Amino acid sequence: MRSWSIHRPGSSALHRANPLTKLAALLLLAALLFVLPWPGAWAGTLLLLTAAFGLHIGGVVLRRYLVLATPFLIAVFIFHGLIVDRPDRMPLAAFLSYSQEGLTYAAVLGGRISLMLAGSLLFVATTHPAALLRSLDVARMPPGLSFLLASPLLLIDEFTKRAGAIRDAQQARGMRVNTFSDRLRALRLLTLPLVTLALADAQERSGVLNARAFRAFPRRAVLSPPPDTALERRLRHALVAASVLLVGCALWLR
Amino acid sequence: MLVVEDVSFAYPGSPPLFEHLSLRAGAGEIIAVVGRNGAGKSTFLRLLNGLLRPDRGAIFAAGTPTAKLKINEIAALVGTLFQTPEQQLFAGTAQEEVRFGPLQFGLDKDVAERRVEAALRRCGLEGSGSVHPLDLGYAERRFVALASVLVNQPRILLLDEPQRGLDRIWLGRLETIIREEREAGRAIILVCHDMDFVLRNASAVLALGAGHPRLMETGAFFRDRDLVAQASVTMPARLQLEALLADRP
Repeated sequence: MRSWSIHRPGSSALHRANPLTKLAALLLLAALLFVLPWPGAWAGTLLLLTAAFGLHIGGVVLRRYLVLATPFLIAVFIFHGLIVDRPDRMPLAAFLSYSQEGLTYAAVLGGRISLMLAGSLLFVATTHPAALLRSLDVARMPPGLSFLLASPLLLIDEFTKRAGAIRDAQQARGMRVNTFSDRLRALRLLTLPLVTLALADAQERSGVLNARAFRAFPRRAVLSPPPDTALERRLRHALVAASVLLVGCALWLR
Repeated sequence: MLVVEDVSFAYPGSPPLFEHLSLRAGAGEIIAVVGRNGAGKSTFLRLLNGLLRPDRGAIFAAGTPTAKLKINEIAALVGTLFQTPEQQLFAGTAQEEVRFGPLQFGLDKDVAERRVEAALRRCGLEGSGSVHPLDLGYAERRFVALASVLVNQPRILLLDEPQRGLDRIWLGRLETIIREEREAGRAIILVCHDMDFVLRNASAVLALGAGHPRLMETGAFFRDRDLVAQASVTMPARLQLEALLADRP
């Protein structure tokens, strides 16, 4: 079955970079949203998606970007451009009217989300969840917190397999998936058992972790830490400092 | 009842799992598919129920080529009990779980209810119909999954490791159901690692991963010690004991 995990192995500089450095870069990207004008956010999105193609992960990143961003962007533009009542509302066609101010606001909001989404997808596509978990442990993060951050990514493959098993069982018992409405019905029938199984699974996993002395010590030893260099550590500090500075300046100048 | 003709299959980018595999399972026949882990036993079942399609060759279920049928159409002829029960249960109660199939096939509500009741009774789950499947014990869950297959009354039954993890009572119940299904004229394909179970229940054995797979009568398969070793399965305890006793001076 096709995996829903977005991670793609590779040997690019971004793949090789320490996950914490990439997280720091993501932090800077979030800080940039405070100062970038909306055309800049869209240009940044385009730049990141183009970079993904340069790293040979363009297909998977673009596909996920479109799946996740499209419904949200459509909703934002319809809501702020056509529905929210603003003073500059102009007639568009029939009973529809639009607001230039609303559309600009939608472009700002959409651009910000779009840029963050593209950056996050690039991060997830080049970072294996286990490497992220190990690097958080190296950074002396509490094991519970690092597990909480990385486990959703680690569980994607597991849940893909489960979804596949349930779907196979349903089809082998005669469920039709020929039409769009069939597929919608199948999705509804799939969601509930997946949630139920996830809850049952959480209890079992928690028992297993406790049995393996997961939180016996406040920090975990890491046997194979992801590669890290002094240059990367300095870069991380610079990225974090730049992020704080950017947010500070944006708030100061407001 | 079930005909597999010259079937070959490989997962993309992997070497072939089967090449030119053929077999026939008539009404009332029980064929055990055995072999080491990864030999393709479960894949073989997925080819039979249409979840996978062969690269070459043809499969006929009750005389109909499955290549022309959708999975839900094949499901009317071929019922599958998958390996892990908790991964194939999705309804809120055992009764709803068992009812799922008949409703998919458009059965009249009264007929469906009668069938559900009968399937639950056969599986020893009379009092568990209103219980959530995940609140049941392992064996009961497995039998909910089995009842969900039996209720559709398919002409061909595919059972993937049905005996795994069952105690003596549940195992006895399973063997009774298998015997009844055989007597009712179903063709049964059984994937199994328990060779004692195979010896007790199967009429023929198909060993995968031991050279070119061919169908053999169960007794003949176990007499061929080389083939048993090649298939990486253990000799049934009864036959081991018989061999030991025969070797005694």
